[in-house]
Amino acid sequence: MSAPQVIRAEGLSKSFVVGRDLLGRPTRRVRAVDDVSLSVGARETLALVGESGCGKSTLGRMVMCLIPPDHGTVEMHGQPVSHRSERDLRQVRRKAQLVFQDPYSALNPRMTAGQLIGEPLMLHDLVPRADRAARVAELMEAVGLAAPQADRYPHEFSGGQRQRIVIARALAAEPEIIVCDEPVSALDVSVQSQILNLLVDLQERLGLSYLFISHDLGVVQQMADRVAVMYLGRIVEIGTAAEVLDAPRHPYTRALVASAPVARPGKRRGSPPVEGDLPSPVAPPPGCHFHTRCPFAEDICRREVPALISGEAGGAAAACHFRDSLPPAEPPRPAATPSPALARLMTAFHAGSVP
Amino acid sequence: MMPRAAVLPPPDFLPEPDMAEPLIEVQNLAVDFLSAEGPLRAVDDVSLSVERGRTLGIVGESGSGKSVTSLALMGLLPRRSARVSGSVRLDGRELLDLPETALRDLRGDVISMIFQEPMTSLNPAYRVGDQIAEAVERHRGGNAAAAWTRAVEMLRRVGVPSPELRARDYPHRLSGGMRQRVMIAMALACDPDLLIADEPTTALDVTIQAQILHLMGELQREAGTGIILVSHDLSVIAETCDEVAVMYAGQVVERAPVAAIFEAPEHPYTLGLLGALPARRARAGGARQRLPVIPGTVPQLHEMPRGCRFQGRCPFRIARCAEPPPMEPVGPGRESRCWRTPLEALAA
Ligand SMILES: Nc1ncnc2c1ncn2[C@@H]1O[C@H](COP(=O)(O)OP(=O)(O)OP(=O)(O)O)[C@@H](O)[C@H]1O
Ligand SMILES: Nc1ncnc2c1ncn2[C@@H]1O[C@H](COP(=O)(O)OP(=O)(O)OP(=O)(O)O)[C@@H](O)[C@H]1O
Ligand code: SF4
Ligand code: SF4
Ligand SMILES: [Mg+2]
Ligand SMILES: [Mg+2]
Repeated sequence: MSAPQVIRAEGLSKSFVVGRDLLGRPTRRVRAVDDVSLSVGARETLALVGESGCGKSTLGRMVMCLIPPDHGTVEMHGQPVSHRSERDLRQVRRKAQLVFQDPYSALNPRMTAGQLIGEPLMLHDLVPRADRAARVAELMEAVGLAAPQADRYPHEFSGGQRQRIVIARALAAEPEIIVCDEPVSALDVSVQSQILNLLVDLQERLGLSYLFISHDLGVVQQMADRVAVMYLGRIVEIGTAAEVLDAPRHPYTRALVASAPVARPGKRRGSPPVEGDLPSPVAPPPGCHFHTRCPFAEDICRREVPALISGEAGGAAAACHFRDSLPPAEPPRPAATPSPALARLMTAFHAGSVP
Repeated sequence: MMPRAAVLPPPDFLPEPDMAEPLIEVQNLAVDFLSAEGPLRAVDDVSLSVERGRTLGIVGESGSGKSVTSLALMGLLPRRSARVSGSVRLDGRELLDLPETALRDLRGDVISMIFQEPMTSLNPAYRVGDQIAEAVERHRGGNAAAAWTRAVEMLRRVGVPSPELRARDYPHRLSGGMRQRVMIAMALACDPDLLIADEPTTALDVTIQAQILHLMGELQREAGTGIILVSHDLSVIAETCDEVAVMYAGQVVERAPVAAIFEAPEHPYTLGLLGALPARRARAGGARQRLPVIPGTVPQLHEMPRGCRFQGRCPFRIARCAEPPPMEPVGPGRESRCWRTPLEALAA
């Protein structure tokens, strides 16, 4: 690899204490993230997908150095970040910004949009006081808000507009990478597409990188260059978006892709792609964590943790003992393709042209 | 009431829609919430029907009135602050005229509901088995032991492992997926004729969602239950429903068989929604394509335009749209609320 990656994480692990005895000694721990490595290049979007509680947010926060890892290291542009150095941390916390799911709780209700967006400018001392108002107006415009709205409070905005404020606030710090933690999950489809387009525009204009956390494969398909799939704290598959989503190797990725509902009318029959519930992260199954639900599981899967490596044919890395011998995955079900008449109608609608 | 035997064939073999008598028929339903500024109409002129063994999907954005409509059908809106008008006929019987006591007998028996967040309807202080058994005892009579047996059997049927043990658990000890299964077990314990499921899988992960939707489909096929499935997710609707009602700003704006909605939408809002779905899109020349968007936002209840409620966002708007468009037939088994249907003519 030539140019250093914007962010590189090696061997990150984190566990949380979730039970203590009478003397306060830890009795139960959750291994939220277990030996995970990843990197994000310039102008690249790496998507992190997986089900609730698999460790996506914890990983994202470690990558941003918001929480210290138990093990592992984070580098920015090839420079290791030390959690003991205030300077290092301040640097990372400016260059890596977080945009998260809930645009309602992310904003202090007592501050105006203008104050919220201006705060990072002041915090990181990026713009002289006299120019701040102008910069706030510029940022608001960049995310599609009108400058006069700067005096309004969060409750006076819709959900989509609040998410724009959150994004403008993140941009104010002049970041290189934004960790987007489920940025559109709380939004309706029609608002969601506006925000996704905004993120793509900003990436192209400002050369941003994204670590894009989502459980929605449609959204991931829209945004990602590469995709990492997590299951119970570990990455089980990582590769280009086409490799992982169109020809998934790992049995869990296959289950995920096959479970995602598709906008194609017709009742789905047959059995669901995987049986069983997610195991408790407090006591994950030994060996391959997925063996309790995997249709291909054998003895070795219960004993040995499979390595995350590419198969003989190259391509995505998959943490599965049988990565080279599994039957080919069923092709993902495509959404319905619009008829020519419908496609024309949609084009007319979205072009805003009045026939 | 139709004899049960008549409702058992799988939905594929049901007679044509216009021949079957609807299980529930809703006409011109309206809900006004009383507020300091006067009544606010949250649901307006909603007409729907569902046949036995069939699933009607209600889709629409946040605040479009899906939940209020569901609650109105169940008679669960607060009588003090919500005024419900129109007609809701279940098996020929008018529900809106029934006193609360009669409704309570119907709920959980003939008609039951699954909510998005199971903790809102599971009592945290009681074991889940007791909660199901209580519903069985209340509606079906019999002794406590028989009701408990039925509860355990229902938990087994919805795929709860070791149901005898789990029945003794309190709700907070169960995972989200398990709680949702318990809700379904409770809703179906008395073999209701109609099940209203309001976003039953929105809070769940996709692999669990697929299991729950499959389960609902199986139980429906066994018992011939009519289902109203409320969702904001068009993909879920596509995979589970026979018919779809699209809601916008408190009104149903389009109603059609599911294939027709996706193949030839007859309301501009439906068209916009379909276009905005993120999907596996080809990436032309490495550049990421923009998603089509519906510009603007939904009008608030207190600032509803007089004419078509979609007019502020509709590129097909004409002068006439300042008048409220009626819901009118636009083809076999389908209706739309738009002055410019059939839309096909606009694409020529
Ligand atoms: N501060 C904490 N204390 C204790 N446990 C925690 C803490 N933060 C996370 N966990 C646990 O670590 C695991 C991973 O959590 P995390 O929030 O990273 O998952 P996630 O993939 O982001 O899930 P979701 O999709 O629900 O947001 C979960 O089991 C969670 O309960
Ligand atoms: N008890 C109430 N009092 C006053 N207004 C209400 C009440 N319940 C709902 N509303 C209003 O009625 C409208 C419809 O709400 P409803 O909950 O039915 O939307 P929804 O389609 O279910 O949305 P979501 O997808 O967010 O669940 C909203 O504008 C809401 O604010
Ligand atoms: S290692 Fe075994 S259990 Fe794990 S995914 Fe592969 S086949 Fe399944
Ligand atoms: S009635 Fe007019 S404004 Fe409303 S959806 Fe139809 S064309 Fe658009
Ligand atoms: Mg999270
Ligand atoms: Mg609702």
